[in-house]
Amino acid sequence: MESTRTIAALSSAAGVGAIAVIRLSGPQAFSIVEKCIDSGRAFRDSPARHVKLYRFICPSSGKPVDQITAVKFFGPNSFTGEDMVELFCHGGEIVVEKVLSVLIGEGAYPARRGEFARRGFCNNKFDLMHAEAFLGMIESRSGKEYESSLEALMGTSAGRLVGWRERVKALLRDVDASIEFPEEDDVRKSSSRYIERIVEIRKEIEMEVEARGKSHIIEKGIIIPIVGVANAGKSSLFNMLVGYERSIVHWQEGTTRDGVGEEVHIGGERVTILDTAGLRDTDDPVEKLGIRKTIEYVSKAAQVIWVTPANSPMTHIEESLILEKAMGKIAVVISKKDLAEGAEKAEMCGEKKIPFIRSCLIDKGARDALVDFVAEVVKSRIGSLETSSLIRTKRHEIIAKRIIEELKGGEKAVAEGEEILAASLRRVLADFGELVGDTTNEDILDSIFSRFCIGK
Amino acid sequence: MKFDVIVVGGGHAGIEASYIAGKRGLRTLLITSHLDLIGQMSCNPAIGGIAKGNIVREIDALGGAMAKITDVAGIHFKMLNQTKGMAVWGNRAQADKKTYRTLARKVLESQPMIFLLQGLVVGIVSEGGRASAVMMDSGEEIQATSVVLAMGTFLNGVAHIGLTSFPCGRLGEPPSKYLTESLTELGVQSGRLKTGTSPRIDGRTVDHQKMSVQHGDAKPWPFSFSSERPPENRSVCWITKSSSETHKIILSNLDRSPLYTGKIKSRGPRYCPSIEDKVVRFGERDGHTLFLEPEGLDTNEMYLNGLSTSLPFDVQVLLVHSVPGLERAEVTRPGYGIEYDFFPPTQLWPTLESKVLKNLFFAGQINGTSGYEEAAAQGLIAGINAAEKILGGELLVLGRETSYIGVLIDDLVTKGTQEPYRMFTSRAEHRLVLRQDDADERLMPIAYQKGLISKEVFDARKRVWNLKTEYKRRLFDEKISPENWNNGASASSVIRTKTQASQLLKRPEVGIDDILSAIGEEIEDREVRLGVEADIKYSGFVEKEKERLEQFRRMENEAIPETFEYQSLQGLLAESKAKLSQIRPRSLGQALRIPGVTPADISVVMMYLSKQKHVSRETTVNQ
Ligand SMILES: Cc1cc2nc3c(=O)[nH]c(=O)nc-3n(C[C@H](O)[C@H](O)[C@H](O)COP(=O)(O)OP(=O)(O)OC[C@H]3O[C@@H](n4cnc5c(N)ncnc54)[C@H](O)[C@@H]3O)c2cc1C
Ligand SMILES: Nc1nc2c(ncn2[C@@H]2O[C@H](COP(=O)(O)OP(=O)(O)OP(=O)(O)O)[C@@H](O)[C@H]2O)c(=O)[nH]1
Ligand SMILES: [Mg+2]
Repeated sequence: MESTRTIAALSSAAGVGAIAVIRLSGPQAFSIVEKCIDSGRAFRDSPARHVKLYRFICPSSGKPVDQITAVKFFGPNSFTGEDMVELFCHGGEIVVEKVLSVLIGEGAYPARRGEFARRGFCNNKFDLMHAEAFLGMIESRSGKEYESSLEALMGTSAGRLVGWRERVKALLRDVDASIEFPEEDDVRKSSSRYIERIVEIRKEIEMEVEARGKSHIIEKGIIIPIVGVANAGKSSLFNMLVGYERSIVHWQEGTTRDGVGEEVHIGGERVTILDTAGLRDTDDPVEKLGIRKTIEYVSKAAQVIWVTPANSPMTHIEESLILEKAMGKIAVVISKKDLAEGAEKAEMCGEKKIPFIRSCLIDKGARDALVDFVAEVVKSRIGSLETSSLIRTKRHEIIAKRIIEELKGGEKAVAEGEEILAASLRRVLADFGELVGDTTNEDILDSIFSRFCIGK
Repeated sequence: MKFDVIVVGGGHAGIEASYIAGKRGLRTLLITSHLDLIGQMSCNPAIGGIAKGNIVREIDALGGAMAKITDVAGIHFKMLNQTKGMAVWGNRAQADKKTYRTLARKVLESQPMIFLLQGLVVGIVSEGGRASAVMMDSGEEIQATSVVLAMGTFLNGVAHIGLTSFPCGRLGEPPSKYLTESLTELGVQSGRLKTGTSPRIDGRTVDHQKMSVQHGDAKPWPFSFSSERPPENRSVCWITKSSSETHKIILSNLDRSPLYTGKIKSRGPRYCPSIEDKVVRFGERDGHTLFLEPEGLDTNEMYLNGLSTSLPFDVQVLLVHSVPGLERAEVTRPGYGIEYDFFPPTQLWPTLESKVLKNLFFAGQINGTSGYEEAAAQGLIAGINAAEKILGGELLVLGRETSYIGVLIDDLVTKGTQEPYRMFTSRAEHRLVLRQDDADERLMPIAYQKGLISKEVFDARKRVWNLKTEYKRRLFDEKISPENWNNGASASSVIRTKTQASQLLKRPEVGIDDILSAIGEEIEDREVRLGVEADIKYSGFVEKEKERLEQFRRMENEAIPETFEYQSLQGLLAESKAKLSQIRPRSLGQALRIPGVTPADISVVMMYLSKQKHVSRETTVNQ
């Protein structure tokens, strides 16, 4: 039926494994993969059923994504009977999702459950008994069943999903009622707050999608930049944490000019610590670039460590570029405690409820206390990162993002007309339907009649 | 006596059925219980409204009579939803009931091949699995090749006024007996539904001071695409509200209501509830709006829209008197509820032909619908197909994406109905492409090709379409410069560079008149002007819907043979098998719409279908 579309999906089990198999099927299977391989020609020229090694890239940015092997099957001699590619990439969840999203970006559609088998059957690749066996395994019997299995899988979080859908339905009900019954007072009173209601729902979904992004951060390990003014002792702290003299430590200001990262295990978590260029006014163009990077780290990182010397007052640069920008995700190391008390800075941290430690970074004996401090910081940060149990797969994410876009369209449509808004909300409901089951036009009408007193 | 087509019932369905069959040159007989009451409006005196107005336009595009009659019989025209987008506009007219009847009959009599007969049909005669004749109450048998049934609310009708009930087809007219039983004997199943209507008032006894007036549009829109002169407003409606006194009276008399004592058991329409229902279910709110509508120009009688009730007559009088402006009003006819037989429409093909008996068509209220427009639409399609059956052409089934009539009939035959079915725009999944102003473009090409409209009518409309296309191209080509635009434009619509006129028109705050004056153009014809505007304004949104539409069409085009055998399919639940075998959907798309049939069921059917196709392909190759 829709065999004009080229579909793609992870065909091996989800989760982490050494290798994952991604399948594409359809008329564009070859051309899509070709675009994503940096030696596209080699792939084009490779004969059927030959395994070869390629560099898989993102065609729009040219960046490499993974090293893969790929095999071509020419229809009808394939599982689906169409042109197919089986692509073996590394088995990490992140790799798989990256590869899939590149393929989808190039025009593949996420396959529905059972779609490969269905195509295979429709193209007479196997007999019916065979196909039914597949089907029973792959397809749920009904939207309800699917919904309940989804519910079971997701626990309470599915309630939120149902909640969003119900709210979109309620919104559509009010819009439709206003279209169908323009002369009824009862209806007219309810047709308001459209935009607020849409924005509310959209924001919640966005948070969920973002939370999924955050769970990626955790899988990859969070990155913690060490920032501060020049000469504060950042490199000293960095070396202490990574356990060897990774960075150059020197009394000159501006010693570190570029970010240096190192992965460590702290408090049972995998963390990447970053030494950065110290913040100061400088004419050195290279250092300037380094400082710009530091500022970027401060704004992007989920957790920041700020090193500030006890023997000098807080500077304007620290105030505006660190303290303000990183509020809520900062921990402070007050260095050079051997040279001064640093009482003011400690007091400030106490007031603002910022975790801090006072330390002497040239004293090897301080290491344990510093490591413990950072471990505590990392643990509480990871604990506070919300992850999404709702949007768990690429498929969920794609649909959720589509819903977000559609809701944004809906916000615009409020000015364009209620019938446009309604069309947009219907598409949202169809997308929700794809996730959890169906909403019919009857549902909306039922809801109108139960809510409004209508009829002349 | 033998006719090509016999139509039973001269209501809104029967009129269209006989009119179109006669127009196609077939010898057509319309049999109805009372010839002077052809085209009677049983309930309120209005034609059209949201979605319904659109249906009337579609009927006109397909060569039907309703729009033309309404344009002349109408005395108050109002295009509803004009503050919203054109896709949801709906024209509504108050009609002079007597003129409507007169014109309806005249329209039929103007066709040389249509004959009228007063009498009651009491039975259907079948021969070899097809309807062959109708049996009259006089004992006469009249033969026909095709028969269209359109008996409205008359079958075993029982009216209720308070706890009193009596047999009745419509107040003052006898019910129609024996016919349901004759059909059940042939294997057609029947059910029972309920509807109700409001009391009528003597207009001379109304105090208009206490009401607000509702005028028609300053420049009324016609329903017909080929009306000869513009319709005229010749009367007004009045608006008032029920009071807290009204609600007290109702609540203290519920023990005398046939609805609340359980005397009426059948389901009534939820969108047209009785005032009892409104008060009980929704409480007082701050009164329920009531409309006072003229029944005609030659009479003072007014229809009290919104006060549908089956309470006893004495309570109805109290109710009326509790309404501001009606304190001294005299009731001319009581409101009443009516129960009647209908035939669950899942027993029909989408052509409206019976699955039980060939050449027998069902249309109108007997299919479980309510409303003049819904009835007329079905009558038209039944009539077209009853004729086609004889002429040998392909039967007409309209798609859900091309018309409300398509939505209506598909809903009926695929889903059936538990309550009297009324059309709403939200029943159509492709509402944006079903505008009331372009029903002609959607349907006339089909109508012309099937011989339902004349070449003159078609050509005249084609000229309008061409004109629209020309202007659209013009607005596409024309660029507007900031100097010509920004002066006087609202802040949000200011432009920086030369901008395509059509692009500018897509902005919500910009109207066609702004554009035309900026490019120094004029489109005199209002219909063309607004049509061009709507086409351009919607084009982006229609584009957005395109994928959904195409997916929809693909599923509609996956045909399932009429003889497809579901019982032997492995992997289908028994329930799904039963539903599929009963409905016998014509396409996978229709199958998907059957309540309770799941996408998983459909994929099983799909697999067998493509297997079959493959097998038949192979056998042809082997032969
Ligand atoms: C009390 C009442 C309340 C209603 N309320 C509403 C409402 O609230 N909203 C709404 O939209 N619509 C309402 N209507 C419905 C509206 O009138 C109908 O939907 C519409 O008229 C149906 O058209 P029809 O052609 O199917 O049948 P009708 O207009 O009922 O016409 C049926 C015709 O068939 C004739 N007939 C019947 N039996 C026989 C026979 N055996 N032999 C020969 N002729 C026969 C009758 O004389 C009549 O002319 C109401 C109708 C009634 C009676
Ligand atoms: N007395 C004392 N000296 C320290 C302490 N921490 C760092 N220093 C000294 O301060 C100087 C600068 O230290 P670094 O670690 O290089 O400082 P930095 O923040 O990386 O500096 P830049 O890379 O230039 O931004 C070095 O001479 C260190 O030995 C401390 O706690 N006490
Ligand atoms: Mg350094």
